[in-house]
Amino acid sequence: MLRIAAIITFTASMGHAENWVPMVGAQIEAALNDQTLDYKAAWQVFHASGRTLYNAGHDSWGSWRVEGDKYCSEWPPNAGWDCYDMERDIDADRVRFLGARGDITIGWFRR
Amino acid sequence: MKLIDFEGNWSIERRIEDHLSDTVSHFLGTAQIGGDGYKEIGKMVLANGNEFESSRSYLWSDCDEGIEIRFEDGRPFHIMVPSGQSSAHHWCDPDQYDVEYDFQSKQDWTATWKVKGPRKDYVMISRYRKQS
Repeated sequence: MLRIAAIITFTASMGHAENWVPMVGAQIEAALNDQTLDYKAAWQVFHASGRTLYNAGHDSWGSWRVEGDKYCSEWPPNAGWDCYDMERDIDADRVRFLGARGDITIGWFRR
Repeated sequence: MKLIDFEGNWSIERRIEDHLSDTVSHFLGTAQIGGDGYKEIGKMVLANGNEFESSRSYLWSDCDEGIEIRFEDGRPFHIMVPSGQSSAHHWCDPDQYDVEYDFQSKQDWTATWKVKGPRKDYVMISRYRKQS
């Protein structure tokens, strides 16, 4: 199950592209630990324990971790991990996930 | 076997053969089964040597056919018939999950999952042995 990419896929506008900066592993971990991201029609909590709860109408529990400079997640029953590059918007409280197939998902931090 | 027969701690040895990347990963861990839940935790070792802790949980309950297994949010996953050899299936759009169970004994059983989809093609073999 490819939760993130399956829900909201944005094509970044040229106007915003220059505001995004790549994140390294330590930044990804610090940014997501015990935080909640709101997507367009869903939200996701990243517990420091490595568990993650995604809700697009119903709860779905998975796991997340950082490997190298990538965010990785796993959703039962799948045994594999999908990994994404991450970028943060230096002008707004949001990040985006970049999948290997060109899919881009933006999440806003819930503060 | 009923749920009560599974209650306790189990060791897990898991081999994941990914046919898309032609790699093999391993998982070593334990599962605790009791009440209405299955909780496993252990270490995943990827083909590139990277290791990390991995865990997952399911809801288990007795049903007429055997053990009904559901996801943590209550959605149905499949029914396991815990006797001899049995199979079950689950469709998780767009992927097909097929499992074959082999109960050698009440203390030793195997689950072999074959997963196929547009971006998935792997076999996952898990051997469960009851810990004394």
